[in-house]
Amino acid sequence: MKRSAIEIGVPILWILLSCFIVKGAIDLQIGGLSHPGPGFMPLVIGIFMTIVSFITLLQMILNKIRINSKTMDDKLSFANFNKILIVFISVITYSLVLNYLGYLISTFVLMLFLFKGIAPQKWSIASISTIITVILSYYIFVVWLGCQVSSYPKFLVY
Amino acid sequence: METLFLAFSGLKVATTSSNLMFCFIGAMLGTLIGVLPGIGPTATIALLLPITFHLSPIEATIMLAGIYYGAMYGGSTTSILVNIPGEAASVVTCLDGYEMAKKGRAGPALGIAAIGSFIGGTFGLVLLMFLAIPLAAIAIEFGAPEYFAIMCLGLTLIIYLAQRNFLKSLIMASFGLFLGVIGIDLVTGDVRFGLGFYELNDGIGLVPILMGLFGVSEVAFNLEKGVSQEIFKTKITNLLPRGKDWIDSKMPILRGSIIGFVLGILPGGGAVVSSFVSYSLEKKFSKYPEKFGTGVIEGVAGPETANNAASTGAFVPLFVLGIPANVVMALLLSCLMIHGMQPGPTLIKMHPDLFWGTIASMYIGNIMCLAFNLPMIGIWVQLLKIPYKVLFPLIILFCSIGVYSTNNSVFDIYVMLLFGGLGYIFRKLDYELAPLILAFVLGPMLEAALRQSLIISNGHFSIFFARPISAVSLIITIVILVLAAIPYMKKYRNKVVETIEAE
Repeated sequence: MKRSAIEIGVPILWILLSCFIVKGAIDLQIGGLSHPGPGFMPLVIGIFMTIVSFITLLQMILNKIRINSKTMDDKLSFANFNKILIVFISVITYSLVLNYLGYLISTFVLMLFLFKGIAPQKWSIASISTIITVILSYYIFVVWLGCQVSSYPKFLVY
Repeated sequence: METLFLAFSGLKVATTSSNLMFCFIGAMLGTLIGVLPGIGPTATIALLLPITFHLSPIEATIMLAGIYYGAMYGGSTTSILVNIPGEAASVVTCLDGYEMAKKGRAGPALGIAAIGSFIGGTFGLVLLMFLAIPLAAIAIEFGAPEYFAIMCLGLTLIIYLAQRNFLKSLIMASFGLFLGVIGIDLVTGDVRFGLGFYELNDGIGLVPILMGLFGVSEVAFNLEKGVSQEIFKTKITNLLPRGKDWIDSKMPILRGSIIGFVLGILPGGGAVVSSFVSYSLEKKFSKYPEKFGTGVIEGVAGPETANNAASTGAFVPLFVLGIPANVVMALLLSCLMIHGMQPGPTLIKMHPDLFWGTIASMYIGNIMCLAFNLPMIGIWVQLLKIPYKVLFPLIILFCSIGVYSTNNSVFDIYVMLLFGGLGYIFRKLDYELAPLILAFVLGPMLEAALRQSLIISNGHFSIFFARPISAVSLIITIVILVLAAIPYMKKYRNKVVETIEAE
């Protein structure tokens, strides 16, 4: 994807966000200068962000500048994006099952997947690393720090 | 005399078995993460912040401070041996350090880096010790207008010194201020921008944001570009520099100590800027500037001294004013506030054991780091061989469970992932993260100071200019903003002139 498309698109998103902030600030009580209300600071931030975003957008559209030695025609690369996406999805899945499957099983599966699935290495290294990580992290977070998470699956406990 | 007496009492606090242990852990961890590329002191402190909830304030501060200055020591090892900076403040050490290693002088490079770091760190500590109390006595007179003005100045300096686009840094700071506003307004009790999520009533937690922006996004970035390390195969001998090395290094070390400490105090200055400034200065002062970049010891001694002096100088505004000078200090500020301490001019008076104990532990920690970095260099070199594919799952797990453990809430993991994704996109598009974090931490304090000032003055902004310190700070802020805007106006004017001439 061309850098120019993103560099112009992003300030538009910032403008939309700042309009949302200004709207939210108006819905809250702005108050007066002598007694600023809860909406006062968000209003200031929203207006400031709108102005700066507009200037940024104009800069990108009018000047076609070089940005830190990268030109606007350069393509923005997202190499290995699928790996990054898989890591994110795996952590989301981990958080969904953590309280249901318990810390030990869900962490074991996550670690084995990350050690073996993302940057492949030997099963022996992945397995040993997983076991050591699960045991150490269990003792640090659950036993020592008292993290409130079930160690075992709920269906086994109840 | 009183200062020395207080310093000795701090030594008593720092030499208890638990504080010594946490000082050791902090210094060792800091050196370790300084050595390992792919994770820096900011991410590590963010990762360990939840663990510090279970420690006393002194133990937590000692450990986190140890990580910060320890990383400055460790960062030079990878810069010199692998030509990859272990952390940002060691970037400039790559230029001459790696060249020295290629010439078979890795030992003296590592040695002078460690010794220079020790001297810079100790110099900074001595100044911190003697300056903190007089500065705190001045700062105690500050009111809401002064705090508002100084925080504005601090934020503006960080934005101005941003290495990337100034406008983008302004947007990031605004975004950070907005994130700080989310939650219940402390004055009226209204929920601001909660979006229907009751978890946001208390605001967005600092830990999920930090873990996301610095932990998860760092992993994403490194997975994308791939982190490979090839250790330069050289025998590391003669860690103690020769006589000529000492003669060549003494002035760079002296200049680096002063520059580093002064720049460390300034918001936005810090270890990174000080190391670059030191390198430029040494090149200017050198009789042979053309030799810089080919492996001269001055190019290692000055910057490494400066970054350690800066890391100590950064504690001055934190302890004296309660204003963080950089992201790491913002984390330490959060740590202190979580433990019920209010950083600021009264901190030294109300909690002298914390202040003097931390200073004394930093002396001890600097000695420990010197010991880690000289005789134990062989061990750190072996650690460089740990592949990133083993490290990143550990970082992901520590981030996830660390964030979960703060509130026992899965919602925080989602917030972390959201900011992980945002952090990755921001890095791709050259948006700096430091203004966002600082604005997020300072935002609530800034708002409180602004509202108080306006209430006191009955809505008149003249209160900020009626008081000398706030007036000077705001004028400097305006000057900096104008200075930053001038290049844009010049560029636009040149563009208009070109267009007219073309027609």
